[in-house]
Amino acid sequence: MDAPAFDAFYAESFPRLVGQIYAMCGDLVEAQDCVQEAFVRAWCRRNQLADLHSPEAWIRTVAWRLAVSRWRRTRRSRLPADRSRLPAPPPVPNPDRVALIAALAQIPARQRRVIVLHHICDMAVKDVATEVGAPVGTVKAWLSRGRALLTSLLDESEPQDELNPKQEEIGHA
Amino acid sequence: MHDPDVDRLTEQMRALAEDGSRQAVGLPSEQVRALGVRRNHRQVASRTLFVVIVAVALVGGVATMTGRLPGISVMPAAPPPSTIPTELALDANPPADINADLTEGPGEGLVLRRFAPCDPDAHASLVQLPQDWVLIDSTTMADQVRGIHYQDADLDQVRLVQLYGDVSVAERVMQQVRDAVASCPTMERQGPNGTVERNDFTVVDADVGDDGVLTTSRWFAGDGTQAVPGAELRYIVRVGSVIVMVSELNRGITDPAALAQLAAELQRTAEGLVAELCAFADRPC
Repeated sequence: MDAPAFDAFYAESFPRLVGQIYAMCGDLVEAQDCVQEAFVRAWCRRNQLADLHSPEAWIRTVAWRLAVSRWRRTRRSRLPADRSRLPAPPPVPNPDRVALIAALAQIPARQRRVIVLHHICDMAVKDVATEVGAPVGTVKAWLSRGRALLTSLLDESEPQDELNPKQEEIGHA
Repeated sequence: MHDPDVDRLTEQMRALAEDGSRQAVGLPSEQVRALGVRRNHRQVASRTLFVVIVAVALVGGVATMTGRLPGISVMPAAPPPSTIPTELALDANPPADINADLTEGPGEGLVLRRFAPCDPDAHASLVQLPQDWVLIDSTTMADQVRGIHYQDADLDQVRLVQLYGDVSVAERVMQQVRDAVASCPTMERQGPNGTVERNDFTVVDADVGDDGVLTTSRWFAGDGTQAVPGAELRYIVRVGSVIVMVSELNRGITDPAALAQLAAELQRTAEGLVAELCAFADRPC
């Protein structure tokens, strides 16, 4: 892949990939950093990149692995309290968005990943299976369990808001 | 057949991803390529060094066995520093009286975040930064980072050493640091009992390394004379292609004398690291 092709590929896919990784990891700054790093690595391997069936899938996989390994490190060491190192919160605290991110954080990472690939990236189950390196049946099971869990978690958060609108106001202040 | 629950979930997930896509801010692609090229060069240099070491070991072995050197001489040239020394004493002179709840490092495995110098609460100040901002707190941008992080109830102290591809990149990072801290706006926040607290953010040149700044952030209530406990001091210093950051968020400090003492301690720490990184410096040290 030459420089103009890489630049075009980067310009087109960077925002989309950040959105996808954001949905997988729930942290926009983390998603941005991981996708950025994946593109740096991609340029290091630009000769092989052109031969890949889907360079975007390669970037997404690398970014996902980086996000998982950073997340593990964060969990091990606890997030530092240095204010310059805290993630920037989203500019608008949309209640639905907050509930969805909280629900996503409660389902297993591999289920989150396949849900994003299938429902956001519009990938067929067999393509998802190829990307995550799991059998089709396993991916179907992860999708089904993940969706069921997500739906129930989101449903759990809704009735309380309806019953007590004042609480909602306080909760999202 | 559509399942309404799945449709609703899909819609919400897509909205989340689109939100992330809209807010995504990336480096210019030429900078991404430059970082990739530098990383390749480093890998090639490491492999070359390995080959030279193996060759020297083989020649040495032959000399030992035969009692004389063969008719070739292998004198590897000393390579320019391409990595942060692993023996760098990041943990020398830890913060006084620290009862550390957490010490990360010293090493490379720190979880690093974006540099947001103007924002005392780190709230979305990124958007105010230039698009081509070279992040000094991100492993994505620096070629190599080593650091240590001390934390307890009273303070957070971070010592980071970040190596860039060459002196010109480090100079650009330093200039961006200077530009960013020089343009920090005066911020206000709500204090207890409805009082308004104002942030006092100062920047002075630091006589450490090839180039350096010291930033101090404090809060004052009332007419600006009543110091709110706590201060954040940050030395950011360039030594050739390396940038050293020594920062402390001290939650209890109010007294100006104690603040000066803390600044002196942090400066000594920065000077110690700079002395160990002498091989990278622009001028003899």
